[in-house]
Amino acid sequence: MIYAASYRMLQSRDAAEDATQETFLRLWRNAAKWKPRGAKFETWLYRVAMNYCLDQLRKSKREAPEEAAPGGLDGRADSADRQDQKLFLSEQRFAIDEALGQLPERQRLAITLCHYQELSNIEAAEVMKISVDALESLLARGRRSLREKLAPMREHLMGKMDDEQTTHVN
Amino acid sequence: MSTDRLEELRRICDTYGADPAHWPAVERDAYAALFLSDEAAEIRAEAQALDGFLNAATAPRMAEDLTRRITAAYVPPAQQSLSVMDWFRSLAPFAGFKGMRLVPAGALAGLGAIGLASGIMTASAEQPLTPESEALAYFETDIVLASLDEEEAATWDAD
Repeated sequence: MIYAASYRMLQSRDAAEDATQETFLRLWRNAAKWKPRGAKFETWLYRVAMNYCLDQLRKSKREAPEEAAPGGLDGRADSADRQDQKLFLSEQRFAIDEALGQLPERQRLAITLCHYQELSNIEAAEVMKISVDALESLLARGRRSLREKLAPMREHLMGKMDDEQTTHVN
Repeated sequence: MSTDRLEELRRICDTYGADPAHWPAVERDAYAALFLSDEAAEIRAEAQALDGFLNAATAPRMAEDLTRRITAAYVPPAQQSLSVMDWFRSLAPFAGFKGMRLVPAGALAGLGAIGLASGIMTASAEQPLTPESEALAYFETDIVLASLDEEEAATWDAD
């Protein structure tokens, strides 16, 4: 989970691995100092990891997004349809990664925590040290921005579905 | 159906998406039925489309040897404490380690209740613990588990 969240933020496998390693190193160094004070351990751990990610983002501008793992590639020759589908999915993932990467850091973090990591709004707000209202504002602005950025892809997808339906009818 | 309620539903979906499981409990209780109604079809479709895109962007799997690399940062263990081991084991799900769901998710909350970290590190050990050694013990356990496939891990879990 720490790795996945770090990947969402940094959009680089190597950087996400570094973040995971660093999180556990920091965890270990600071474990003895940690006091519950009503906070869940999960929240604390996410905060350590996400603070590290934000630091990295601020230190150096984001690397070009890597393509997500090509799960299922098995080296066999694919049919043209399957290759076309893979290409489309790959383009789709790339576009989404890019759209996420273009969001302001805090909007991206809010979406990462709530959508991908499935933290509650209260937990995510705790990780980010902001109010729930502020979190909701970040989420709404982030999602609105993503919707706008991904609108062309949605139109492309709808057009593709229309083409397929036409092909089936014919 | 009041326009106000539809507008509030739109706000919820614009914020939390189309899966009521992601909504705050109060909103879920109040608006889940409306969300499924015909009047909310457009709001639902809009939110589902964006969720669909977000869900398509899968994160890659963690490198198999990341656990080993993390382990390499620690000094070999001199001794082990069961409670400390349990504590570290409970951290595994957050690192995304494969085959490490041996401790229920609720265990973390319990850890807080029993005085995590400082309490465990000092009070549970008969002898002074070496933090690095306990960390390595934990990660070594993880390496063993990481080598199991999910089915084997599930069997072990059941035992």
